[in-house]
Amino acid sequence: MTLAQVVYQISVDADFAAQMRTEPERALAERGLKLSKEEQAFLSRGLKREARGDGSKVSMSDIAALYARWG
Amino acid sequence: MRQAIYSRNTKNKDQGNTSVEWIVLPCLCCQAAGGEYLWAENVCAAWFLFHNAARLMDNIEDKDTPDINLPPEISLSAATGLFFTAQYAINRLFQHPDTKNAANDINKAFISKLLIMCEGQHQDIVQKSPNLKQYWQIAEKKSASFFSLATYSGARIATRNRRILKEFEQYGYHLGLLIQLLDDLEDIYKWLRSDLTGQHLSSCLPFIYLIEVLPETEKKLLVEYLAEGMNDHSKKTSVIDTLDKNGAVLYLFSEIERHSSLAISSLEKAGARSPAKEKLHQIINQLIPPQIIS
Repeated sequence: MTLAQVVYQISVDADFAAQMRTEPERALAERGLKLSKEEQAFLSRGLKREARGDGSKVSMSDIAALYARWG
Repeated sequence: MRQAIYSRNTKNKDQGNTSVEWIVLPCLCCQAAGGEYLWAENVCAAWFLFHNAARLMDNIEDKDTPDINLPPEISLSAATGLFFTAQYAINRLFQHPDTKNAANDINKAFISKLLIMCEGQHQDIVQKSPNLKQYWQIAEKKSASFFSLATYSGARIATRNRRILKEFEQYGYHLGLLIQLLDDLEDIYKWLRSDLTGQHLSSCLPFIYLIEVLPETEKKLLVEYLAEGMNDHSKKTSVIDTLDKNGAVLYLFSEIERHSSLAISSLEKAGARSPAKEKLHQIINQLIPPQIIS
């Protein structure tokens, strides 16, 4: 599941994360990973959504709280 | 049923609440595909009844605490009644002049999709700790199938154009997958706020993602936590920390972006008509987490 692998690498490898911002195709190729243009777009929007206004990242507990009894 | 559908669609507006209720999904798709809203009332009824029957059965199979206190044998009996009542609603499609031409296709769709859902439910029961690929397979068979059934069936009353029907079906498919993700988040919330052990979380996407990507030593610890239970505060904090540090939030957001975008795109490709189109957009938009500012 390549998107999962790419997300994990972005999260634990700062160099890869930085390279993904500037040269995503090369960053992926160097690690033997492949994402479609569509998936890169979803990932890019996911990264924006993950960031808080103060520069920190949203926690799983924050998001889970949004969906308490949502159904 | 007609009165119930009218009241579901208008009560929120009257109270100043703009959220759209899902029971009307087939009616909205019928309207969006060029038909009249209420032509799909029997499809709404059948779909809603099947949904509640499936929920009762799911609670029994998962040994969940039910929303209402029904013993399993009563739940089973109630679910059976709901199944047959739903079938009666489907049969009415054959009698009504507005729906009889589509009735055969809709009946076949209900049978085939519900069988796929049974397959998904069986897989869900036997595969207690699915991997990532299996998670998506099960979600496709269960939630995606169920919602695509509603959207296809509603649209089919209005049109027999296969290309358009495929797009409405895809809208429902992606909506169903989004809903599965949010169900998982609700499960995480309940675990965080209760004494639940969290062992059931091994079938929630954020945890399945972690087990897929973590190195062996960290994976082993997480799997142990999931097996033993995590109802003390320090374990919960440790597990949330692991989720946050290893990209579980980003993965979840990326998949939410994927399915919401593809759902909206399907509506555009279907040439969905206003005003139903805007309500179908709204159903997706109200599921997406707002940007958390601080």
